[in-house]
Amino acid sequence: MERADHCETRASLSPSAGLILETLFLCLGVGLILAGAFKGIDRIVGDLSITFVAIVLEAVPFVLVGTVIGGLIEEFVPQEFIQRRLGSGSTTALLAAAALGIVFPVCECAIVPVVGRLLRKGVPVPVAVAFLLAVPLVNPVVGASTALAYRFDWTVVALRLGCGYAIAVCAALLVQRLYRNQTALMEDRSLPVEECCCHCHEHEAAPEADRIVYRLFLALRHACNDFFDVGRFLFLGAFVAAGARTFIGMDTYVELMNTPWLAIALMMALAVALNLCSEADAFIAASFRGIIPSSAQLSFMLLGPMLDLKLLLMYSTVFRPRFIALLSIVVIALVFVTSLAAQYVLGEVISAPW
Amino acid sequence: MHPGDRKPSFENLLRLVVVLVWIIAFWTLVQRVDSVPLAARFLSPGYWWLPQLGAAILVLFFIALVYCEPIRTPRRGAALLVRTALMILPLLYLPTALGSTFSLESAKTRSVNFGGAYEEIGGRTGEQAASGAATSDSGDTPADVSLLTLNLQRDRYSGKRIRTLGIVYRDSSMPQDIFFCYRLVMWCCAADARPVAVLVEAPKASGLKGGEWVCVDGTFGVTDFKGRQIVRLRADRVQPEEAPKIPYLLDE
Repeated sequence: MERADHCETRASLSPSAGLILETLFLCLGVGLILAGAFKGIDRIVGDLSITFVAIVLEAVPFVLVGTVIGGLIEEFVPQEFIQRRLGSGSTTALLAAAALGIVFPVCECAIVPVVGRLLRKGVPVPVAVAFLLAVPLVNPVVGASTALAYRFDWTVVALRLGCGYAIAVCAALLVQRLYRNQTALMEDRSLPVEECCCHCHEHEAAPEADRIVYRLFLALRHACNDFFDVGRFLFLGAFVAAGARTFIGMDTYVELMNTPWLAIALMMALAVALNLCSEADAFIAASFRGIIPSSAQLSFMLLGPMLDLKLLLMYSTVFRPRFIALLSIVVIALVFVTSLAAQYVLGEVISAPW
Repeated sequence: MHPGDRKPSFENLLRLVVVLVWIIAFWTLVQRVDSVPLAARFLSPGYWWLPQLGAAILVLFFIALVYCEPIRTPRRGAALLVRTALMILPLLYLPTALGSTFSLESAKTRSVNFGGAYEEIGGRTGEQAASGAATSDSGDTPADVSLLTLNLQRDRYSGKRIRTLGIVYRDSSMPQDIFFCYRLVMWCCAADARPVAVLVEAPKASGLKGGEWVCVDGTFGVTDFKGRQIVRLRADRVQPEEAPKIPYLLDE
């Protein structure tokens, strides 16, 4: 079986700029803890700590579940099977690709390397784009976490998954008209199809009796690797979110209630900046219930799984910069228009928590 | 299962340590103090199972890390150390978080016009309107009512004698005999906690400090002021109280 995960690390996360940013974040995080020993700052650090830990504590188990599911799929679902179903490039294939999250529930961080593999094997770009954008959003894990975060308000779940599917399909169709495979993809792909970065093929020759158990452990191993790849982006996002909750007063958001388009735009910017995992971002969005318009919460949950800072880095391992720019503009425009339409057509569909 | 002929990499060793530390952290959070898990400081009861789930998956990860061949990644040197350190950063905040409670300023930050509410309702001028709305019924035994219930069912308790528990909030704009009694309401986790409050008129409460837990007996009243409903409590008795095991009110 071929393995597509983790290989992204060699290309996408190596730039020194990323390392510098991560180092700065680490220094800030550790520095604040140390600063908490001083009178006056201890109160701020205490508030920040509670919020940061609470967000992480709630999000990490969901991310772990997502990585385990991704690992099991990686180990037990042949990539050829997926490619065979999606290789035609027809609209039907595109629609099917966008719905694959129902049986292929992985978060956005795990999906990019898989898409890279699929593209190399000849899956058309629009189909791959539909798959890339929809799967991290339209899947049962995200549905469940959204339902939990919004206390089983199924309207929110249906809106998120339905709008996400529609946006992914529309973006893929637009891409189909504007780009062809050879101009969209990076020419110099860092990883040949045959090569696997995990170097763990000895299980193929293992005795039949041990094989299933061994592959289960390998799936967990891949899941663990995904957790380490994704974790730091989650923690960075949680830290920024905790900082926003600690330092920015709710009074600041009041004005947004009267200006939905501004609220939508700001929440979209927040989604890009926070890099939250699609399995956990609903909890962040839900914390804004009753403070900002429903449409702005929706825009946050729609855009994050499709486009954020870490995804832009990861996209660069597969697509050319111009294609990424086009894809970003298309996705941002579609999310904005969809959220605005939801605001004016449906109104405040999400009630305040109390 | 494990080939056994390969040397464990330094990266693999670091990952084992990180996973182990996370398991210990989750295990700590499911431990009960006074019959309440430590996770209650961060999560509402509906989510107390999350640390158990996290710990279970991480135990499986730990076993997989020990028994399967390490996956080689290009991380080396500083990048490896920085990224590993980032994985335990939230756990560095855990002791501080466990030893802290949300500050008074946090209540103000998390509400819309909480601190300024007294000035907005006109200070003393608003007091008269509230007093008029609250019909004293001092013969009844006060009913224990949470601040959340008071705010959600204002009409039901208007004019009734009640007893409620909360934290004292007062700022420089407020006279000594008036303070806000508030509690934070948790929806899913502490990150989304928001205050609910009642304005307390208590002539004998000038010695109370901000942040102190108190039990207030008094007559509840609701009044309209400039289109906004204000909830007030004319206190008969204000008594310092120990903080409850779970400091948050829970939306049920």
